[in-house]
Amino acid sequence: MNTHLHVSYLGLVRNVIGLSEEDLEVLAGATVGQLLAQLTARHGLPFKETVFKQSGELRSMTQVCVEDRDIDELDGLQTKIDNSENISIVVGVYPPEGG
Amino acid sequence: MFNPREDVWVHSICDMCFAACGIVAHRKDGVLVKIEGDPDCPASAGKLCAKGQAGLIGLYDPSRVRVPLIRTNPKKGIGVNPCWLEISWEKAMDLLTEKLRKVREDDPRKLVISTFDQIALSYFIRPVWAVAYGTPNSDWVGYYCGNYLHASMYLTNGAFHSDFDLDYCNYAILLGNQQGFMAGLNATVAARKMAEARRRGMKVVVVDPVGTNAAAKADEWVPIRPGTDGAFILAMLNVLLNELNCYDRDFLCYRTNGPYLVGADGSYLKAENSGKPLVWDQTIGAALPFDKEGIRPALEGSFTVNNTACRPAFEALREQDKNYSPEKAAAITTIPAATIRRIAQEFGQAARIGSTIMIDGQPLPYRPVAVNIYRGAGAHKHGTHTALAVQILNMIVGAFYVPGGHRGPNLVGPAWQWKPGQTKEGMITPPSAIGQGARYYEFEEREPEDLGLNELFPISTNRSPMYQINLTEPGKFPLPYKPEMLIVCRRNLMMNNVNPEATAEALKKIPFIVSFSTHLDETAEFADLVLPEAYYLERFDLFPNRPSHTMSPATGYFYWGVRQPVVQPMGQARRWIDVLLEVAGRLGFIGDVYKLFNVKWSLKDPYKLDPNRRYSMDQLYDHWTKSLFGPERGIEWFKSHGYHKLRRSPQENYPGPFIKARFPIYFENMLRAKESVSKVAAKLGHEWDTSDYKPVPEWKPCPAFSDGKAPYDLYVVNFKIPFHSLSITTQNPWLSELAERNPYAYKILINSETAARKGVKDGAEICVESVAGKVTGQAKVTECIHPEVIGIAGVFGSWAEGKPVAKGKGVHFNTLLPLSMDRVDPISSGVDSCIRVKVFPVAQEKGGRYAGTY
Repeated sequence: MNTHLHVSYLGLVRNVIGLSEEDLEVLAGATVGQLLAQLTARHGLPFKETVFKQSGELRSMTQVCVEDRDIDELDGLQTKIDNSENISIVVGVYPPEGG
Repeated sequence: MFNPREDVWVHSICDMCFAACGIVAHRKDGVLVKIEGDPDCPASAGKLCAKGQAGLIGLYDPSRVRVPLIRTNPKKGIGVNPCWLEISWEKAMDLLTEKLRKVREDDPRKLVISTFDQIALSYFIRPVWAVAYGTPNSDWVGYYCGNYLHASMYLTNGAFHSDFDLDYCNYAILLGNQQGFMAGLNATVAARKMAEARRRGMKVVVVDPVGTNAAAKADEWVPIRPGTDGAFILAMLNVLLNELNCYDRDFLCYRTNGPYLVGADGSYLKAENSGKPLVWDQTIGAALPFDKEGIRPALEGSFTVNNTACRPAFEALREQDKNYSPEKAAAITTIPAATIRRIAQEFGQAARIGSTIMIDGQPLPYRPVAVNIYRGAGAHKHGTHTALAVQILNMIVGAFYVPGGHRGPNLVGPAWQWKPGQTKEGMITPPSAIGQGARYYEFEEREPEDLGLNELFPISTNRSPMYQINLTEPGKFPLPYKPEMLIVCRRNLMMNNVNPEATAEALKKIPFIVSFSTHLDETAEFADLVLPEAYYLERFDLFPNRPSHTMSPATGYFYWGVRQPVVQPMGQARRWIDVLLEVAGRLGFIGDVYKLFNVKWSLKDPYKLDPNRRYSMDQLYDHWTKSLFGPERGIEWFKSHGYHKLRRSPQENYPGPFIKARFPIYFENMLRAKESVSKVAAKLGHEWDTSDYKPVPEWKPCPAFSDGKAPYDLYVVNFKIPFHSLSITTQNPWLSELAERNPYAYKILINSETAARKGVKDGAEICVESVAGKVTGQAKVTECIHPEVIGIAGVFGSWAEGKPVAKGKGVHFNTLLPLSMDRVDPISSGVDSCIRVKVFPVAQEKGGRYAGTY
């Protein structure tokens, strides 16, 4: 059985894949980590290089949210995805403010 | 909008500086007649400074921009008439939308945004609009103010500012700053608390080349040679650590990385299994992970672990500081060695190491001393080292987040809603609520994509000077695009950057500039489209008191308020945020903006925004306030009540003893940053100076220290006066009058002895010239400045026709500064703001144009 998702791409990731949102299906019980692996296969190297470090960890400027909650506040890449959830993948440049 | 027959007082929030004091504004028959401090606001407590009161007259300035204007003269330059043509908002919006559409379709990174509008930066532009648009270049802000400082604070105290506890402090050293004397964080609260503290006997030592407002009121003013503050602090550290053995052993052992063992290469020794840094346990005589319960870590000595020679980080610090004897520092700083020793001793004694205090039934460590740093001491090449050394000085006596000592604002939130994180080595990291992005332990070895060159300056808050370098010299760094469009608001790039002629060259290279302006200022002169910007008394801004920047624990509260329009906008003025949101709607990415609001404002159900709907600003704010505080605290409640406040508990005021993360006195991450920066620079084909990336701060001479060959024999520095803020207040007639009556504001300060040697008389016109430019002004001969130094206040010396009050008044300091990589702090990217100059009576000048008096 599959889980249906709506994925939004915001910021620099939108620039490189040329897509701002799409509907997808993943296997039931999938995690955010598995979804990102699926998206990497789907969108190729530009997606991978924009979202991940060479080491395979998320870049510090990448933010992944499930239902608008940062996965850092949930279970990170192990966060489980439920049916019909909205996923946001944001790659921005967020330097801390300064003057 | 407003009833013309009314007589009301309206809650709002000042915006004449960054303090964001609460105000009540008296509107009578639609006209603002008086502004007072809001007694209900913790930031003002009913008091308001000269700037805040003078806001009224600025509102009714007849030289404000009232309508959209388009440039008809394609030629751009300083003093070149743009030949403005009035156009309708409808046409202006069509033009703006079309330009932004083209850039976005081509490559959104070609859009650059420059602003110092703090509300816009924090809530709208940087985290949301720019991201949804797709540009990483929304961060062209300041060059000197806190570049050196904020990253050092995030790294050491996990917060944005340097601040200290005036409620209990007994001995404060102000190093190149005037905190408590109408400057810095929550200025009016700090001024009141400073007065109370001095009345109860707190000693204030001001170390500064200029006898500032703070120095005039201090117990002791210690004139110092510019750019040598680091040597002074390191000598104080040496006295305390190596001569007096005065340090807080418990704090260093259990609250810092002082006991972490480091090898010959400077790196931590780590446990094989867990990867945790090791410390030497004195009880069992072996190395154990730092967080093992019940251990007694060694701070001193040298050890061998698994055949590797090592020593505690504290020992490395202490050993290196032996290089800074007071005698050596005296030759560098001009402060006598005996004075350095005495101040170190007084500081150490006043720290009362080992003492406790009871506050609201809570026993807490009591360390009533602080050394506070800001722009003056830090704004030099190698300024990051100076700021880190200052923090170490606070830490070695344990005066860190405890009563009387140093603290950053809001390391923890109300009821610990947010709190700091920690690295796997146990080091403090800022809570995302106040320092998202300050990730100074993770580095990426990839080619930079933004004009700030993020990856070349990974331990920095912003890299604004790099924007200008990349604009001026395209191709110097291989970026995959060239900027096409600049949006600027409330950021006078021409006056506040380095040398205006250099800045003009950068601006001329941008094909289309949009300036949202209250006045046709020096930067608007370069714009292609000028849009009339709302004055702060016409704006609708939620939560100007941001926990990261403008909510000092000194207020005693966490608090949230609203800046609401007091009068209708003059002419056709609009708030630029509203304009850009409308553009997002026209370009079809407003849904993405709402998605990002949901995330960045942490909106919860049922207050999440629907990307398919459209919301007014009232509705957006209503969702935000209700999501945070519940249905009874909507935006209408804030409009009528002003503030929602929560009193701080002792744990929230002094979180030091209650958090797990440790504070670094040794910066092992610098070694990894060095390696990463070297690799990035190599990829870019640049030779790069990485020698400042060291785990223990040093003092190195800034370029001005090593210059000084005749006739450039003096330093010039810049200082702040309490009744002006950046260049934004210079056009205010009441504040301008104050400056005219002030003996220093519009003058050039020169020491009496120096003046006599140069043949300069008080009141004479003199010329100050550096390698970058020259300015003229009236000499103020005074004892209140170091003999080697010339002092110029504020950001005066405007030349724009659109600022008739400010034009031609005072002296423009920034004209004297050049921009080059060798005058940039290698870590923070801040521009060195002192330089050598020659000074001579203006009668000797033969022809030529004086920069700064365009």
